[in-house]
Amino acid sequence: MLGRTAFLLLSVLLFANGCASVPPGVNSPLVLQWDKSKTPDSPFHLKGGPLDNATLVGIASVGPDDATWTVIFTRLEWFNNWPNGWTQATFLLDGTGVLRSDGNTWTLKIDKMPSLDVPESASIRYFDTYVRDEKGLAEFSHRWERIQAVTADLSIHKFQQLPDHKAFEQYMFPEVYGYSSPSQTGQDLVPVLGIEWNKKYTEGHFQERLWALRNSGSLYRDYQESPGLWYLAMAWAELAGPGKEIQVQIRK
Amino acid sequence: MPKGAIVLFMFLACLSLFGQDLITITFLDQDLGTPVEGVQVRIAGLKLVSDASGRVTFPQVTGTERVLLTALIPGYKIAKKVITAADRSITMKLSLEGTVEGQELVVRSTKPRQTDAQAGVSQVISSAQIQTQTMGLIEDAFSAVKTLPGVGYSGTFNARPSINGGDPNETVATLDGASILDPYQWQGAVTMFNPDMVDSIKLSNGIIGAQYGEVMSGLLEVTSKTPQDQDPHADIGLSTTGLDVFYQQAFAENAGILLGGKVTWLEMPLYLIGQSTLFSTAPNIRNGTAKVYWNPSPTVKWNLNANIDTDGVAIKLGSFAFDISDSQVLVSSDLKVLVNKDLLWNAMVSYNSLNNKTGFQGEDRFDSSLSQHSFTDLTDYRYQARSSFDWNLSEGQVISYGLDEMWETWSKTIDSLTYPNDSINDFTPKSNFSTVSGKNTIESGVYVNDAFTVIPGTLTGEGGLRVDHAVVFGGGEVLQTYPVLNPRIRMNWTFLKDWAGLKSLGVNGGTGLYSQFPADNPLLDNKYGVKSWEVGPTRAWFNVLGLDATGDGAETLSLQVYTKDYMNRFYSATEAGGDSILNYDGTGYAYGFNLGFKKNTLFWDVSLSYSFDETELYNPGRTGLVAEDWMSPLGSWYAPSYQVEHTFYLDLTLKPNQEFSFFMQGTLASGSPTESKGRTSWQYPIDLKADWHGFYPDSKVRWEFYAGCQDVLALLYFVRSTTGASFSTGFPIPSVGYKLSF
Repeated sequence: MLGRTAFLLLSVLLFANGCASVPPGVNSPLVLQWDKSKTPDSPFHLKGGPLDNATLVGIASVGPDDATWTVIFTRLEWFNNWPNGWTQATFLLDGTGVLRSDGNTWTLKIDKMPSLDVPESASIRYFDTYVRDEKGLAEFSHRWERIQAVTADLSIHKFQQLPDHKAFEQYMFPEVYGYSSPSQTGQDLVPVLGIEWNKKYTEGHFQERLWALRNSGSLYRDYQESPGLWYLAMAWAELAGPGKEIQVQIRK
Repeated sequence: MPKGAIVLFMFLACLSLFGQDLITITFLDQDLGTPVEGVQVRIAGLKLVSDASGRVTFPQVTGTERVLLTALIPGYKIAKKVITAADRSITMKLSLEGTVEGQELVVRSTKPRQTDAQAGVSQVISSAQIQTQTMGLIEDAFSAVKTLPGVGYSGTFNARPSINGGDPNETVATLDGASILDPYQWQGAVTMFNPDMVDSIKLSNGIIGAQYGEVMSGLLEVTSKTPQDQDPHADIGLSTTGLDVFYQQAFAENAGILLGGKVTWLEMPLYLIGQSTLFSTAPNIRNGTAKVYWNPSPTVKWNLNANIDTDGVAIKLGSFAFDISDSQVLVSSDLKVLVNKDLLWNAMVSYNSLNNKTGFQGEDRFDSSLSQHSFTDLTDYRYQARSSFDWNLSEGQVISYGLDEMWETWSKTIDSLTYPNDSINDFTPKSNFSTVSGKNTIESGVYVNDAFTVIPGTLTGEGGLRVDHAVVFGGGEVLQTYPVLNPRIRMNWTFLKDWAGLKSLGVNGGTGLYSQFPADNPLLDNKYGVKSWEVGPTRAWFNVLGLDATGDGAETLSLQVYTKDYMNRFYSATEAGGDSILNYDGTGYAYGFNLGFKKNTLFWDVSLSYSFDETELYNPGRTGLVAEDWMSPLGSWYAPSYQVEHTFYLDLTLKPNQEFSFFMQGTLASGSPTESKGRTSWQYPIDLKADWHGFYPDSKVRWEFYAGCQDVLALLYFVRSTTGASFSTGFPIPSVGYKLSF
């Protein structure tokens, strides 16, 4: 009886864990929370879609008619938790766009794509330790810099479109998630905290400036603790390239 | 870009007014630290270029606006920074294009010096390790210490182990530097240290420095959490037996508070298992703790701790009655002042009161027609003061010197009628009634200690000398004791680094004298045969030789071999007339070795320890004296009741993913001595714990659920120990807990 109970308990726990890693809602619609009755300038929040855990904040100013609004993106707020902590960050933005309605739907056209280069503030909980203010910002900036360095290359050379979790994880960390093609076992392995990083794989798939970061497990830790940041970095360019029009749902 | 800011900046730039607030930005090369000339700066419509000193100056941002500064120069990465009204002077470091900041995001809180482990001397348990291992009826931070090398097996519900073969009373516990009269509750079953209040525990069982007095076989230094975050945080734990609530918050960058407590409600589980009438007062613990810290300047740190801890239990079954009632208050304050860059002054004062009442009444176990009883009432007040200096004489050389004073004033009443030799059918009753009040003991210590470095990172050591003295007064007499010198020296030699899979390999060794005076022994009186200037503290000569290895994968292996010789050990005996006397000519020895291995990975942690100990004591006695009980015989070598020859621990934590962990603690321990001069059988308790944790979606609230079972094999080998306070239940104890923290 006890054994059966324990087995059921374990099954529930492990099943629940499986449910916990749901890919970001790449295909879900972008939702604009906006009260446009507040003219001439009304703040808005853009959520959903590839933004996942992020919220794009800005101000919309009424244009020549009620169906055309000028949009200024002011910041991006990001929050992500994982089983042993969370990360919260704000990026300052300087992008612009135009929001138009054809009577039925609203579309957002980006004129000036804001860059995500400048985290303005960040705080981190890691187990029982909290890091805020300058230290939090510095540590988050380092992580963001590494992620950008990796994803910039991936977006060009590997994933022209946003990959699903499995494909991404198997490409980035096959030593953990399994090789998508026959593994290259017996290579030069670097053991770090129980994971043997494949140096040959690293050298064959990543730029030299990233080798040490990957073989030390730093990149894997970046992914473990904030997977959403990786997808944000890759989704950002895809979200709204200059001139691209995106359909959005309006909610008050 | 906010339009207001752009207009404002262009306007200010055009005016170029004298007296205008300016902001200066200096650009430096990240690697070289040299100024970078020619950096093109864009901010709020302005275009500027840095001068030869790498500087640009422009009007300060006003109001609540934030503007974005972009800096470009060929060969370097584009740098951007948010500028606010608070900024006056900023240094920006430019890194060469193509490099990635390799600093890993490894968040680790800064630990105070006393929590650092030292090879061959001390081992440190972190808050995370404590949280992993604690479970059961009472979540006790000490449960993580019990499995360290050198700690003998003491039982599932016994937090008073023998360390390196020493009497459990030879181990001293401190909370944030203040020594505690009685850190145990329920007569030693658990400690007062709640996992939610503890930041780390350091167990020193090697040659500890001369700073520490009144300790002979282990120093347990508990460091409480220091709130660092200005957002309020709470830890709430709900288990089958009680509730723990802790709150912490920093008020500013230099002050904070920690509040918390524990309340048990064993009445409920007892009712659920149909045992609500077993206890007349259900086992209970009520603990409260508070900590305030304030660092008024970077060179001054101040802490105030207050703890109130109570526990009790009572059973009444027919003619059998048993009750325990304890209460303790500990208030301490410590101050650290950095007098100058090389001199640190530490001061600490504390007040500690303890009231301990135990009572037993029932029939004799060998003759039910005889009734026996034993009541004890101890009230103890301890005042402690310490002042010391750490003088950083040169690089790698710290000389510490100071003095400490401890004043205990206490009273104790004992009323008993027992049949101490009933096991051999001798039913001669022994009656004992004594009441001692107004007794005082002052213990003083002065020391100098030198932590030195011969070859940085390779050959280090520590040597010192302390003098300890005690005087007993009150009750119409003054009992003088002779002072003792306690020299100590220890060396660490790391002779191999970065070779064949080893990060480091070193040996350590040391020798030292230690002493401990039984401050609240009611027999410390002329009328019990104790004479001034003839009596001194119990002493131990302790020798240690050790080896420490650290592998490339951060696995550690440690070996410690020790010997210990006791001198002037106290023991009591009974004269022909039935009166007790106190002797202090006991001797003894202990020797053994401790082996430890530890490895942590992302998916599993393992810790193995094996401790071997052989301890024998000798109480010479004299003609006309008889032993008070079987645990301290006269005229023959004997193994003390707490001695365990072999203790083997395995701690294994499996982490198949980030949300789930499975913890197993396996123990294999040889038995301890019994009244019949044999030993209890080997014991092999196994504790299991499954833990599931995470954060609620899109929130900062952490949850944790665990289910555990202590001593799952208890039914197979239940041995009712006859040594000291043993609370082995003889059956597995399941427990579940749910915790929230934010």
